[in-house]
Amino acid sequence: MTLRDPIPYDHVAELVATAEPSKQPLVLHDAWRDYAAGTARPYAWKTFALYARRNLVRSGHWTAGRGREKLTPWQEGARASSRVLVLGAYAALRVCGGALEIEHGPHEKRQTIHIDIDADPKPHTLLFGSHGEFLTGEAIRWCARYWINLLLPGGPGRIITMVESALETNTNTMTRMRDIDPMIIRAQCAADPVKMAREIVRAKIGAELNATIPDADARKRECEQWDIKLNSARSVAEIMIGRLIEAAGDLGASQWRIFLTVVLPLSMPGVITGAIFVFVPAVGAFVTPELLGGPDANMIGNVIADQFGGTFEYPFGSALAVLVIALVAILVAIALRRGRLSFA
Amino acid sequence: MTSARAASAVLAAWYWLVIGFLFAPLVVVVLFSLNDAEVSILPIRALSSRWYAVLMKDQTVLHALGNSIIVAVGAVIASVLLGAPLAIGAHRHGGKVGRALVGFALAPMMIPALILGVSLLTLLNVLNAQLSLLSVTLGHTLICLPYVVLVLDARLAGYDPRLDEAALDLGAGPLMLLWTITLPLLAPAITAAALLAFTLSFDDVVVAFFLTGRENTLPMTIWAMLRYGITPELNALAALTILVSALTALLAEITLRNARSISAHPNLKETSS
Repeated sequence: MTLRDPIPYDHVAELVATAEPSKQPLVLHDAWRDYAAGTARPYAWKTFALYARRNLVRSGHWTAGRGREKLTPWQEGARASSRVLVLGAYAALRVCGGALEIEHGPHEKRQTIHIDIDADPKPHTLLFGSHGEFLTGEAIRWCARYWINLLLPGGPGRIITMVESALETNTNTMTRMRDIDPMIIRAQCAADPVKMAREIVRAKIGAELNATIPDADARKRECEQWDIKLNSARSVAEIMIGRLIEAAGDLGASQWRIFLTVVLPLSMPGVITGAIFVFVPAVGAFVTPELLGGPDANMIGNVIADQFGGTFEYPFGSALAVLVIALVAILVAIALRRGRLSFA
Repeated sequence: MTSARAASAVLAAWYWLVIGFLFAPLVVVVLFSLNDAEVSILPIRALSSRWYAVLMKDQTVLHALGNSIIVAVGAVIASVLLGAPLAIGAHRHGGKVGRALVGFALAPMMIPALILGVSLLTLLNVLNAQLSLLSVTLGHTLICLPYVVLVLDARLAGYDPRLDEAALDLGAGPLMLLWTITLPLLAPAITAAALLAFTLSFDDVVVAFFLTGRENTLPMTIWAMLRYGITPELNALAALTILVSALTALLAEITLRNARSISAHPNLKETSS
């Protein structure tokens, strides 16, 4: 049985060829071996599978009948839920046996995927893209190879609700997916989430560009522009901080790790802006030191104020003032240079 | 889950510690302003409002209050008149020039108020200008302008250009567009910016320190009174200042919160009538 990827992924292949390989060992196969050895928890899958099948049949998404069953996940127009449906359907199929046809993709290029468990018992890899479609083949190998160690705490097949779907779905769906947490295969990210997300966005954009821009040169130029955008931490933050937090959570990162690896790095522009906004009044303060400081608390602000308010040494005071301006200007320039300053 | 709970407990404790650090001095000032005794020491024996009564009869303070209000209102008017057209113009024009304009307007935020004060003082000296309430107003306008631009710019970021296009399609001229579409939509932000500017000007002592002539503003008067030590009357005055600032800031926040979204999204509910 062959599953064909609906998205032309030749650019992704290019990216794969140039990307740095993950330093983490791939644990996909190990996890599967664990499962086969019975150390994982197949019962959870079974419960979920039966539950899913019952509900799918009831809702009309699943045409019951052993042999040829049919799943039409887009039926109610709910893209996001189709992921859960397909996942459930596949799980059910695994447990119950039989064959399944899954129609997917947009109307004009709808494809049918046949999964026949009886004929082809080896586990399938299902990867869901942003539009509820499957991503298969190259895309999966690529993800598995480069950023993601998949930890399978127990599952009948390598059903992977991939990071991409975690990044793309709305909160609602993710909450629902978390509700069936034992079912959802946890993928643990290998590299840091920020870099990973950037790469995933890059691949996604690459795929989109492949589909929309036929001219190779124009595509390359567009890719380069996106690379520039994606390479600054700030654009990534603008594109996806909320999704990243969600994705990191789905990938099994603890709250603390999410904070350290996602929230804090992406918030650095704000943190630095805040620091400068505190530094500026503090370096120029003269009222507070005079009120609260003892006789030794003479700060540069007091000295400057004295030149203008007391001794009337305007030139000396002006020189000091220029010094302070220069200090602030240098700091702001450093912050700007590192792309780490943002207003509002 | 217990570690998560422990972590959130630690965060909560930290939060209250920070809040305590920020507000404890204010609470102490208010408390001592209500203390009947002449000296500000614990324990407080009896509560009274006598220091507020003393304050109400203090001509110097009342005069300074009047000056402060004049300066603040002047600075508000000037900074809004300068800032609103700048923000709207920069937004309409967009692009690098627009961003640069906003950046220039925000630059005074990046310079310590002390430096702004001495720079203005030097400039006025060069121009041979007299220090007066006018010069203080000028300085305060400079402090307030970035905040006005910042508030308006943030509000304009959500401004739907299709509203302008629709108005122009229906035959509105530029003035009518400004008057009937842009300004009403910006009104909450302008109000909030004005209130914010008022607070900034009303509280400022640094710029006023250099630019004040013979007439003192309220913070300058407090500053002068402090030289004779902290009196209960001063505490009362500080408490009132805190009250005014807090109320103004709160009002600004409420105005902005209650402002409806200014997008022309089809889901906008108010459109049906």
